[in-house]
This record gives sequence, structure tokens and C-alpha cells, in this order.
Amino acid sequence: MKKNIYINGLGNISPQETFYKTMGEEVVEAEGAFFACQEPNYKEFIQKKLLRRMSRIIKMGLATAQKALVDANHPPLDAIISGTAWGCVKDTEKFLETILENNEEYLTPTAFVQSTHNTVAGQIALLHHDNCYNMSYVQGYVSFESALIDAMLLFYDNKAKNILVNGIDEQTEKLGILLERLQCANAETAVMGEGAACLILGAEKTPNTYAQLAGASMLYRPKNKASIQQCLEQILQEANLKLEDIDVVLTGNQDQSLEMALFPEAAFSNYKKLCGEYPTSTAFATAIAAQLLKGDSWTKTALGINKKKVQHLLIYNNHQEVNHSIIVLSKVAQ
Amino acid sequence: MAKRIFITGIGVISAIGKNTSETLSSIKTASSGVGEIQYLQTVHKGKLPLCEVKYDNQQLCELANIDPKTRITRTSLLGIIAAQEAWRSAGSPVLGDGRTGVFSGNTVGGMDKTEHFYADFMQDAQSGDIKTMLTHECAESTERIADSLGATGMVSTISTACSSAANTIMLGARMIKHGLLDRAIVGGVDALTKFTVNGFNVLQILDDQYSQPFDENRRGLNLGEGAGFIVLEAEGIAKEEHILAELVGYANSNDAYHQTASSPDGTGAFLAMQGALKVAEIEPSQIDYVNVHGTGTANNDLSEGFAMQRLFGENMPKFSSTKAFTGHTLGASGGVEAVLSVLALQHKIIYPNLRFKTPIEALGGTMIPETALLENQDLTYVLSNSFGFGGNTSSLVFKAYK
Amino acid sequence: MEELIEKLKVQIIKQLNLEDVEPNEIDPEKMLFDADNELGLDSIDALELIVLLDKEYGIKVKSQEEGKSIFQSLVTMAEYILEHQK
Repeated sequence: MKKNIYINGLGNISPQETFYKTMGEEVVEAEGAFFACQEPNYKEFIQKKLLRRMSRIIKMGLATAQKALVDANHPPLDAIISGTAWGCVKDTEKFLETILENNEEYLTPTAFVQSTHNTVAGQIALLHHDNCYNMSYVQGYVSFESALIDAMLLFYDNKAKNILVNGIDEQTEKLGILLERLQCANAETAVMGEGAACLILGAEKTPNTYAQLAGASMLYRPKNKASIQQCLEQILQEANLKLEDIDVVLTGNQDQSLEMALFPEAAFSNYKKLCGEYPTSTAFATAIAAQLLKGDSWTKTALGINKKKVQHLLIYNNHQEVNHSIIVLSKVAQ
Repeated sequence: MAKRIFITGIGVISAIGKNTSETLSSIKTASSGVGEIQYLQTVHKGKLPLCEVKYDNQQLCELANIDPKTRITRTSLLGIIAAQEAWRSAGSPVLGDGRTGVFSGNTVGGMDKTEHFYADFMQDAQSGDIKTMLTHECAESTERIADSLGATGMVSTISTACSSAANTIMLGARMIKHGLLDRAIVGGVDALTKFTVNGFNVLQILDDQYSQPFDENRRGLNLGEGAGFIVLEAEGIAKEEHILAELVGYANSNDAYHQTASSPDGTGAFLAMQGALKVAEIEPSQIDYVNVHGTGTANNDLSEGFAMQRLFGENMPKFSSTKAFTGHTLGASGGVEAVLSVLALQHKIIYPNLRFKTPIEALGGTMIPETALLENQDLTYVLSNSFGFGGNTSSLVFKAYK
Repeated sequence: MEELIEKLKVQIIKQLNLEDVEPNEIDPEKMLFDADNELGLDSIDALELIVLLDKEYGIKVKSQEEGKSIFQSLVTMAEYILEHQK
């Protein structure tokens, strides 16, 4: 049955200064068509002998997991659930290129082993000797939402008290070329980003709690705007909320007509100006939304939100009218 | 009271047949799908045997009823063929009401097309048919499957290496239990690619002969390709005449031992099997047959064997690996083997573990799989194991519908 | 032999991506895969070394079992190469 779920820990690597701080004092803007992450010194988080093998996404995934676990005061985990659309791109490229260059000879096993989409979730389990439930979702622009919904079901099942959920995607030079050729990346209209955001969800509130995860849903090829609206209303209703209760909408969309019409009183901000466009960008949005609800003023400033009182927040992303994602967060009284 | 989950449809394509009836007859005649490489373009042709689906992409388009000029991956084609069969066998329910989920697992998405494109791309970054890359992601085949069925409910893809499909089956069941869906089409698909064949080859876990799962002298696995899907329906939604079996147990765990190897004591495998039995609320002694993961590698079979001994003790149920027939179909294997588990319950049969000769000494020499087809078996519970890289271990329990 | 060992050190550092290791820090006599070896090598590294032998010296090692005796130390590796190189 439905239960309260709290965000109790965060780790966030993004193009902004979100790893060591809640949000940088100055908002970094993208140069050109790509927006790269500000990465931490990984040696603080990962053993040197393990680090040597890891591609960037694995490092980002592990460092954010570590940071989030420390932030949440190391709760024992009952599940580790990852969302990634592109997976371990660099290792995939490396293995594929050696196959083609060397005519299927002299291949490097490390690249193959680390190219699988569940590498990060598996490595988190390995590092923490954690035998718990371990899942990796690869559903394009709703990979993170898939992971969130799975986590929510585990809480409802009473199968979990603490769950690690992340959304991770990396850019590479080659992927950049492909995205430009596919007209997905463009300096003026579509800055492509990347990021790793990790949340520790808990069934109990802690002194470190950021926000409550009030609901999450995803839609596949909805027939029309009415069915999106219906889904939005349903998810709010399940959280005992009305449309007018939403104070802030973090949108990932260029066309914001639907959300503007539904939430006329809410403050709006397009979070992608801070992280760029990438499949698991809603994980970044969820992490900064949690910071905002906990009262972080830098995040509010970076998003350009003036509203004083923010009680309920909605994240909405519509990817090419195919995959729609809705996440609702609420402020928690401490 | 939690709803029961019924299996009302099954569909499969692999090296041993393009549908369930061909698959069943191949098994009954002990015809393995392993053989010399015919379709995959690789330097390993003539050296490494594979379990290929015996159709080229053009023929698969015909089977899937798709215009051969369509830009579509082998992965999507195999998935559509098996998912369509599963849907038809469930009585072709209407899926457009948003209450049917489509969950599929795979490991390398549209890599079969990507590796062709990439050869051009490496010569010149501006060459090659760029639209090929739109079919690269793992989610693409799942969406093609959903579109071919007209499903508009939740669509998602899991990639946890070789346990991917088993995990989608678990996801579908949990979604239905919670009332988020009435029905789910779940399973997995993977096509053979140079990428995977070379990956497993460089890990030195491929057998250059025909594999011998659970044999003392096993040398490794034979890779295969295919797809397996089942239709899950909630109690009250499933029509009596379509019910084939019941899904009663499922669990996932992590071995947390090594990125690619299983732990010597089979911790992850043990926890997955134990967890699935717990969900099913049954004792180990109630399991009548185990469709083991049984890849034929030194490491897997030993580790899985230990885990089974730990779980079942003296009362080892009948077991066999069907990978000697189908090869290891990676992300599809949990789906293919779920279909085989349902067929076993439906037809009261237990499959032979082909080419088995000598029991594994390190397991005490007592773990002997079934080597001949057993008929007229009184089966109630079947356990199916799927384990993957990253320590991912999953088990499912199917129950006969009597 | 000495020369080959020095060359191997550089090749191993590159193949295994041992970023912070200097060639002179690898003891040629020390067991490469020993638990107390600070290099921290594992079975995937053993496979990488098999690839290295194939690529750089044209020597094919068929199994990890065979690899175990060859990769005991840099000395045994160098001896094996000298013996099997065409």
C-alpha cells in the first residue's frame, strides 16, 4: 500500500558545482553544443587500484553513490536501482573500435566487461558487499523514472527501508558527433548535457531529510493532451494534492503550453539551462528540487525562482511526445 | 489480499525454432540448435559454434510481417516475432487502454546494426547511415514491440546482463500486484553480434565445441540468440481458457563478488532462489524441476551447483540446462527459459541436459541432471534461474494451473 | 632478459592502465597476482596480460590456467616469452 517516501541523501555531479556544494554561487553556462560535468577528485572516494579501470561514467556513478550514502549517514541498503539510457558509452566505443580496427583480435576484456549497462549498479554492490536487490533500467528518457517507480513499489511491498536510486549518463566525443549528425545537439537550440545524480530514499524521515517523494509516473505515447492531464491529476490526487497546490514547476520542455495552462499560479523554471539535455536529466532535476525544498537559496537563485514559500514541486519532461515523465516532491516539516 | 498472476500467453524464437511448437518438437527429438556460424559475419566463422536463429533479416521481416525495406534491427525483429506469438496465444487482447505494460530486457540493444554503421563512421566521422544510431539504444526494441502490439501502458527496458528478461518478468508481476497494470507482456531479446561474441571470447568462456553444461569436462558456453515473452494477467482479468500456468515466486539478489565471475559459494544464486521460494510461500522440497542457468562455464555451473546443494540439501530436485539446445541467449535467456518452464508444466515434461556425461567432482559427483526427455511428470512447481554479469542473480517460480 | 623485463614493465603499465605506477616500482621477482602485491591485479588483468602476449609477442595462451604459471612474476613472464617467441 502507499507509503511516505523521503529523500534522505544526495550526490550530484553535473555541469554546475553541485558535488561539493548544493549549487555554485555562479551559474555556469554551456559553451557550444555540449555541457560537460564539473568532476570531483575521485581519489577521495574510490580506491586508486580500482580507479585505474573505470571510465568516467563509472567514476561519476560511484562517487555520487558514495557521497549520497555519507550524506544519508550510511543506512543499510535494501536495493540499488540505476537508470541510464546510454550506459557505459566510452567502454562500448572502445571495445567496438578495437574489434573493427584489429579485425576481432587483440581485444581488451576490461572494456567489454565494463560496457554492460548494469556496471555501475553492480560496482556499487561490489564496493559495499551488498547482496540486495540490484536493477538497471535503460528506458531512454524515462530510465530514471523507471528506477524511481521500481523503488516506490519496493517501499509499498514493505521490502525496503532504504534504497539507492540514480540517473546517470555520460557524453563522449564520438557520441557528440553522432548527436550533432542526428540534429539532437545544437549550440543554439539544444545543448546536450550529462550527469550523475544519486538519491538515497528512505521510508523514515531523518534529520537530514530533503523532501518527500510524493509521486512519479511515466507515460508512453499518450493519445492526446487530455490523457497527459488525466495522468497528472491522478498522480496529484494520489498524493492528496490539487493542481493549485503546486508552487513550482521544473520543466524540461521548450513548449510549456500544457504545464502553463494547468498550473497558472506556479513559478516556472527550465532546469535544463543548468544541466543540458540528456536522458536522465530528471534525476538532476529531482536532486536540485530536493535541495530547493530543503531551503537552499543558491538553487532557488540558479533556477530563477522568486516564490518565497515552496511547499509542493512538480517536474515534467516530455521527450518528443513519446516518453513523458512526471515527478512530484513536497516539503517536509523538520 | 494480493492478486494471483496468471500466464496466459507464451512466444519464443531461438536456434531451435521460430515458435513454441517448433521449439517443443526440437526438444522432443533432442535436436540442438548449435552449429557452425552461418549468418553472423565474423572471423570466428568455422572456429566457434553458435546457436543462431536460422533466418536472415529479410526472412525475419517476413515472419514479423514487416516491410524488409524498414530500418529495423535483428533485435527488434526477434522481439516482435516472439512477443506477437505470446500475444496471439493469450487470445489477442486489446492493449490500447493504458493498462497493459510492455517490459523487455536485452544486453546490447541494436548493436547488430551499430557495428555495421561504426565501420563506416570510423573511416570518416561524417559517413554511414546516421539514422542507424536511432536504433542503437536498448529501449528501441522494446518500443518497437510495444508499437507492434499497440500497447500504450507503461513501457520499460531492463539491462542487467543475462538476467535481464527474468527481471522484466518480476517487474511485470509486481506492477500487476500493485494494481498499476492489469496485464504485462514481459521477457527479453538479444541478437548475436560481433560485439558479444568477441567479448565472451576474450573472457575465454566460450566453448569451441558443443557445450556440456554441468559436466565435469565442460569447456565454456555456446552463445545463442532469440527472444522469449510471456503474457502475465491479473486474476479477474485472465480468461480461464487462456491460463497456462501461474507465476508465484520471484526474487533478485546480487552476488557482490566480482564483475564477471560468480562467487565460489554461489551466495547470489542461493539468495535469489531462496527469495523466490519465500515469495511463493513454498519449501525447497516442493520444487519438482529446476531449469538451471547452467551456461557450461567452469565458474557458473560450480557456483550454481553449490548454491543448489545449499538450498536443497539431500533432496535435490530434477534439473537440467536447456542451454545445450538454445545456447546462452543472454538478455533473452530468462524469457526463453520462462517459456520452456511453462511448456514443461503444460506438457508434464522435463527436458534433457544434452551432452552430459560426467558429474562435477567438486560438487561431490552427485549432481546429475536429467539426460533424457521425461514425460508424464507430475509437476507442480518449476524454478528457473538466470544469472548475469555484475553479480545479478534472479529466480522465478512457476506453478501448474490445474 | 633484463631489457625484456624493462620493456614488459612499460607494456604492463600501459595495458593495465596502472596510472600512478612507475616502472621501477614493479619488483620483477615479486608475485604479480599475490594478495599483498600493492598492484592489486585480478583475473581480468590476467586476461589483459594474455592479450598483451598475443599482441606484442605473437604468443597465444589458451586458458587462464596456463596463464597462472606464466604470470607468476615478471621473470617467469620474460622466460616464457624468450622460450616461445618465434
